[in-house]
Amino acid sequence: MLFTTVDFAVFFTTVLALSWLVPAFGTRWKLLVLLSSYVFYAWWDWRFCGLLAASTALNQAAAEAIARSRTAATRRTLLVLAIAAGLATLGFFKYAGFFASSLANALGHLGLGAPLPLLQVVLPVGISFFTFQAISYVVDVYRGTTEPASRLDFAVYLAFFPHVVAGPIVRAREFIPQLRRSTAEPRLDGGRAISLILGGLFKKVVLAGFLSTAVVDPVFGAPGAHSRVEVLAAVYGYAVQIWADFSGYTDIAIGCALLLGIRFPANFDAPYAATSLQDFWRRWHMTLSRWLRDYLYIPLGGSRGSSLLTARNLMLTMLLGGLWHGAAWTFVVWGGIHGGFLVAERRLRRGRPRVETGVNRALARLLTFHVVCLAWIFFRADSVATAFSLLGRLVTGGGPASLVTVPVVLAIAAGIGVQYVPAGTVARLTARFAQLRPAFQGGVAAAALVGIGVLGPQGVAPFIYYRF
Amino acid sequence: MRPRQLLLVIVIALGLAALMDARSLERSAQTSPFGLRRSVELTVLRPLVTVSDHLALDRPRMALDALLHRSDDGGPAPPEPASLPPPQQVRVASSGLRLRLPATGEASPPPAAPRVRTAADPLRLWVGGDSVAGFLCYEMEAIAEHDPALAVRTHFQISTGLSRPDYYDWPAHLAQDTATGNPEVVVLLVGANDDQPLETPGGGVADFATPEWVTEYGRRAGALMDQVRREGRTVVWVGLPVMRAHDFGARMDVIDNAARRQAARRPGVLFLDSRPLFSDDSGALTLMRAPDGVHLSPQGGTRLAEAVLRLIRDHSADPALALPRTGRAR
Repeated sequence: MLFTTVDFAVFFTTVLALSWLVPAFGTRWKLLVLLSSYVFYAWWDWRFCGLLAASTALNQAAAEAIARSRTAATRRTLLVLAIAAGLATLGFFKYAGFFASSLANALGHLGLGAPLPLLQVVLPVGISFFTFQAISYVVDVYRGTTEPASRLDFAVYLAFFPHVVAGPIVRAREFIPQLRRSTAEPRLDGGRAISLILGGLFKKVVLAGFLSTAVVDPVFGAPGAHSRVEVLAAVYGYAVQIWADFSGYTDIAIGCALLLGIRFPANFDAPYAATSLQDFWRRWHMTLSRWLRDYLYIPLGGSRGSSLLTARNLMLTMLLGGLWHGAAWTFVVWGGIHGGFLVAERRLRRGRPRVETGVNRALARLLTFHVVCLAWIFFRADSVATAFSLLGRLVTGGGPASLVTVPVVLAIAAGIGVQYVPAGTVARLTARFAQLRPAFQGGVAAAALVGIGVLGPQGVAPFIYYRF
Repeated sequence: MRPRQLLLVIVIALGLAALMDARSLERSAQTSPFGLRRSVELTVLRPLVTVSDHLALDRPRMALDALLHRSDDGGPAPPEPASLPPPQQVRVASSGLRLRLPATGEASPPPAAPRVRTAADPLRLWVGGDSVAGFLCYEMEAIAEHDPALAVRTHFQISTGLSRPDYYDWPAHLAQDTATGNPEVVVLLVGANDDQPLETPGGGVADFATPEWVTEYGRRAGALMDQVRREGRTVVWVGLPVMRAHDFGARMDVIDNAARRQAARRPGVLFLDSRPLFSDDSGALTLMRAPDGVHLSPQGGTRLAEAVLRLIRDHSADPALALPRTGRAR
């Protein structure tokens, strides 16, 4: 069930109320949360509950075996097997169709063969996220940076419903210690949690939903039918849409986890205020970028070798990071753009002091934002050809700009402008809300929910990232 | 904040929001598929609407809707049906697109003079339907970009069909669209969301695939075809492509067959069976589909668009109606 539905509101309220009937983080609490998480996952597709359970059992077994093992070779073998099993499962569900269609296209271009049968593979929701979480757990046990958890704790960690579908990618060492607390009645950061949930709903339902229907979908669907101004608005609009959609979802996930007494790490930090691509990746989908750094980039060698090896490691990390987002060449190109610019940026900045003057910083932000937007074109387009068609329209596309209305411009400006609102301002507003009496908090929240319902588009759209 | 306080906040927030938004929630429940869940939701929501109305809690929402020009009906009122002659007597009249379809039991009409389409006088198409029509629409627009003698307007709406006009009234929306663009050919692809119960004219609810359901759905499809034909336009009814899930595909076959029977009775209506385009000789699904096995990929949209244009050309007296470019780079 999607976070933005009445179904989820009823489900979550029920789970929350039940969780307060038992001591927090005790066995009964964990069993309740685990059962609720599987109910949540089954709501998407009950057939894949077995997959989630199997992933839990396999990775926990591997972690326990690694911890018990006394020889380095055995430990390494177990680690490799666990990672291979996880990646093979992810590869089958997510990439089999992609490779089949790519092969079919290649054969077609060579004039060979008939269309291949479409592989009957349904993509389990959240598989990319829980696979990466499981891998990080096993690797951390192998490295000795975390102890194997109890079986129940690991099961709760992997299936925890606020993050199972689309992250954030929480490390076991960030999550599991929180399950070892014991308190009869926890004190909850309710004000912050409710603020996050309401803010997330606004970003997802109103901002992202509006831009998607008003300008992004029509332009990306038929670029040739739109002028360069409309194409530009759609590109900027998509940058805001994907940020609002994903950060909005994350805010709701963090807020829901907070209400259950669990703290998630932040996942976004004003990414469009970044002054470089390296800075961007410290602000965008932070849990993924840290995962890629710790479990891919650094094991490949990171920046410890020559500049050529560093460039290779950066490119590989970003290309695979792109492929993680989706089984299509557009995502590979997206990753390649980021990798290429990261390599170039590293080379250009080598040995030079960073200059933080106002004009230079503003220019750096502008340039970084537009490089990110260039990559987003490929991320959003249904094909590489469509992406190039969009880029071509930026140059050749004359005509009216009927889609670029005042609300569209305001929405884009708001989405980018909010990146520059100081974190302290948001914290103060949240604190003011938290200081209100509960009845007033409820009233403000009710008004916000109604406002979101009015301003949002009709129908319910899924999160962009939920099928990753 | 202690859990008791938090529970109070949540109860007040959700309860107050439900009261303030009761009408909208009731509307949403009314347009959901017929069944137990819908009945339960309406049972719960109707008293809320009453309370909300008495306490005037729904006024802020209504004021906001008015300010934003939002309405909650299914669209504009459908045009009043005029009395129709029996289908076999209808001819395509006003457009230059003349069909070589003989009426039932009558001799073929004499071949019409070929019409040369030009940029000044393009062939006007309207293409639309539910979300499965999405890439058909996009690809038709792309084809028209490169063919000035083809003018295409598109309109697809996700989660729509013919079984729930209270949610989205296709006859009314189509009437608006055709009045605006005056297309010569209307290409419609709907049905993927229609495998649900529908309300019969007598006020009852017919479960999907029952004889009553098939009769009523066929009546609606036929009425939509007649509505378009009455305006002198050609209808191309695109059948749903084969689906990956066999049970879903079987449901779509019921819908397609109901529409196909109506099309067969009506000269001026072409039915395009899209299944051969997306399956091999054994009927198994082939590529050109989205990962969900339901929607089309861009390549699938191109293939379907080309097939639609071929069908129109093959049934028209217009040899100048060229096929679209093939092998578009992707």
